[in-house]
Amino acid sequence: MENALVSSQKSSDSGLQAVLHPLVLLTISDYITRHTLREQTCPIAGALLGQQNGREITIEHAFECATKVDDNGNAVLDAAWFAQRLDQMRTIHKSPQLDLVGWYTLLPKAGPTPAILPIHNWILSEHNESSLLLAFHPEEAVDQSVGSRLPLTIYESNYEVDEPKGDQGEDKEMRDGDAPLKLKFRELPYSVETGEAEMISMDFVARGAGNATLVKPTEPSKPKGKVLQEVDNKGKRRLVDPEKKEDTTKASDEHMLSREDEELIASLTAKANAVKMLQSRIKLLITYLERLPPSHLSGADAPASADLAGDSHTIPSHTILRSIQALVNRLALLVPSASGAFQQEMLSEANDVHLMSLLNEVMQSAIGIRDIGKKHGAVESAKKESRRAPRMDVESLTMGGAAGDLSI
Amino acid sequence: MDVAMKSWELDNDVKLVDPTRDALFKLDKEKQKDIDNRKPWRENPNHFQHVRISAVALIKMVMHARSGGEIEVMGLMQGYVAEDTFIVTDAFGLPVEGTETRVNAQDDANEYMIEYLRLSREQGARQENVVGWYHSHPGYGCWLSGIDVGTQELQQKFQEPFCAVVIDPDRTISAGRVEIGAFRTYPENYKPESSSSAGNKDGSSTGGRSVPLAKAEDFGAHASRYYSLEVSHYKSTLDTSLLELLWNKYWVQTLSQSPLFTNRDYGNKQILDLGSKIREATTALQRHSKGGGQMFVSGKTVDTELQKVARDSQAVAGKEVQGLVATEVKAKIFNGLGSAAAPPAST
Repeated sequence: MENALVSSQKSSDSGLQAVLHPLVLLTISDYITRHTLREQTCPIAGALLGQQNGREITIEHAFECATKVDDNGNAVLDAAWFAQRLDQMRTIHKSPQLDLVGWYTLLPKAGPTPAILPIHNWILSEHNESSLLLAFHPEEAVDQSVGSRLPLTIYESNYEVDEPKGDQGEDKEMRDGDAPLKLKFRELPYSVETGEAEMISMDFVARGAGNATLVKPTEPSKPKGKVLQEVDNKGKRRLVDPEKKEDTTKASDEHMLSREDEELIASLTAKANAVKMLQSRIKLLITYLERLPPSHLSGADAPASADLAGDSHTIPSHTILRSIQALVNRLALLVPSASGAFQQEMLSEANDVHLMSLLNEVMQSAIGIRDIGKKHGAVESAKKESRRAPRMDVESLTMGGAAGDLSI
Repeated sequence: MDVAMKSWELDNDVKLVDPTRDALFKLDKEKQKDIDNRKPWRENPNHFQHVRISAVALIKMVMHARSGGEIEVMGLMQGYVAEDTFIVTDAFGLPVEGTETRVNAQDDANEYMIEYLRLSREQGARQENVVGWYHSHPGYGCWLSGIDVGTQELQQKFQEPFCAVVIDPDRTISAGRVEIGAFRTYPENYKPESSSSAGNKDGSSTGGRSVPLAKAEDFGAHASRYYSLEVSHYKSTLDTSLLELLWNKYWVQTLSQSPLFTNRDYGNKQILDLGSKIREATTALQRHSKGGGQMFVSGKTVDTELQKVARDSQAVAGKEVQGLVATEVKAKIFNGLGSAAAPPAST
C-alpha cells in the first residue's frame, strides 16, 4: 500500500544528515508516558531544537506543544503559545545557539498521514523551510528484538512534481505552466551521537535503578520509614526485564526487589543481549564462509556447498577472507601465554569478591542479631516488670505469659 | 478523518505505559492539595529524606550545568511531594548566571519562570509546581555555600515544599559518574541532633546512604545549617526499552569491559570508607553499652548509623559481585578459544 505522501524517489540523496541525541528520545518517551497516564486528549506533537551546520542537522532537545483545533477541524499548533515557548527555549539554549529544526509526532510505520499536513505546512511557512519530521512508531517500541532499530523515522519534506505512476509508457499530457508541486516526505538516514555529559548521565540513568513504582508507605513513623528505605526501588544499576510485566497481577510486593538484585538483573540482561549480538554476528560470518563457491573451499565442507544453487554462493572477497583469517589467528592470543599466572590472577580476584560478599553477610547477620537482641531485651524487661507485681492475680500471670509470648 | 486522527494519537491497544511501574508519572491533584494543607514538614525539619529525579530531568540538569562551563548556572525543578520524598519530574534552566543577588537578575528570572509555568499549564501535560531549584558548582563539589543556604532558607519559608540540588559538571566528567546532591536547610535556631559518635562533620543525620567521610569536609562552614537527602532516579518502562535499544549499539563495549579493573580505585575507596564507618559505629556502640543486657538498648542515632553502614556494605558487595559476573562471562566465552585444534563444533 503506497503512502501518497511518501516520495516515490529513491531515498534521500539530498545529502542532508540528521544527528539525533538520545535526550530527545527520552523527552518524547516522557511526554508519551505522561500523556497517557494523565489522560490527555490532545494529539501528541512537539518541537525539535537543534543546530543546522551546512548539510548536517543536529536534533538535541525537544519540547511538547500545545495544540488546538482550527476552523476546518484540523489539529494545529497554538501559534501564540508556540512562539512564546520557542522564544524561551532560544533564550536558554544560547551556547551553542539552538533553533527550531523540526517537529515530532506519533505515526505508524507506513509514514506520514494527511492529518499532520496542516501542522507541517505551518511550520514550513512560519519557521523553518527545511523542517524535519520525526515520526515515533509506538507499535515498534513495544515489540523489541535484540539489535532492532530505534522505533522512529526521520523524514525530510520536499516539494516534488506529483506524477501519478500509471503514466509510464503512455502519452504524457502536455502540461501548461508549472506542474503542480506536492509535499512529499523522504526518509532521512540518521545517526545517534552524544556529548560527554549526555553520555555519562544517560549511562547513569540507564544502569541505575528505579522504576517509577509508587511505594505506598504503610503506617506512620517507624514502620513507614523502614518500608520506604528497604523496599523503595532506589539503587545504582537496573534495567527492567520486559517479562516482568506479568507481575502486575500479583501483589505489588513482587515489584520490590532489593536494589542489588535489580542491579544484578540489569547487568545480566545487558550481558545477555550483548552475547546474543555476538552470536548473531558470528553466525553471519559462518554462513558467509559456508556459502563460498566450492572452488574456494577444501576438505569436508566442499560437498555441502556444492549443493547450493549457483547463485546463492557468496562472493568471496579476499579482503574479508583475510580479515577472518586474522581474527581466527588472534583468538589464541586472548589468553596470555603465562596461563598459569593468569589463572592465579583470576582466582585471586574471584576470592576477593567472595570475601567481600562474606563480610557483607557477616555485617547483615550482625545487624540481624542486634535486632533480635533488642527484642529479647524488650521481652525480658517486660517479664521483669510483670514479676515485680504480686503474683496473685490471674491477670499478672497472663500478662507475664503475654509478655513471654511476644513474637520475635 | 477519524482514522487519520487515530494514527497520531496513541492507540490504546499499544501498551507503551505500565500504570503500576510508571505510577510516578501521574499527577494526583487531590493528594497534592491534601499534603499542602497538612504541611507535615512544619513539625519536623528533618521530614524530607529522599529525592527521586526523573531520567529526563536529571539529564537536562547535567547538560545545562555542563553547558555553563566554568560559570555557575541555575534552574528550577518541577514536581510534587509524596510523604517524605520529593519527586522531580522535570527541570528547566533560568537565564541567569551565577548565584547572584542582584535584584535585576532576580526579576528576569522571575519573569521567565512565571511565563514558563504559565505555558506549561496551558499545554496541559505538565501541571506540576516548582518544588526546588538546582545550580552548578563547576569543580568544587556538591554542597551549599553561605549564599546558597540563605537562598534556600528563604525559599523554605515561603515556597514550601522546596529543595536544593547541586550538580558538579566537572567532577561528573572526570569521575564518569554524576555528581549530584540534594539538600534542605534547617530553620533558624534549630539545633540538629548531633550524632553521638565521632563527628559527622555534616552536623546531623543524613538520609539514606551516608556521606563518605572525605566528602563530609566539603560541606563547608555552614554545614550545620543543612542536611542532605538521598538522591535516586527513576525512569518509565518506555524509557527503559528505548535505552535498551540504544545500548545494544554498544554491545561490544558491554562484553569487553572489566568493571573490576576500571572501578578498582573507587571500590577500594568505598571499602575503606565502609571500614572506618564500622569502626566508628563500634566505638559508639561500646560507649552506649553499659555492660551485660544493656548492650542492645541504645540510642536511635547508633541504630540509623548501623542501618546505613549495612546498606553501604550491601551496595559495595553487590557491585563487586557484578564485576565478578562480568569477568566470568568473559572467561566462559573467550578463554580457551585458541585451542582450536579441536574439531570445529557445530554452530
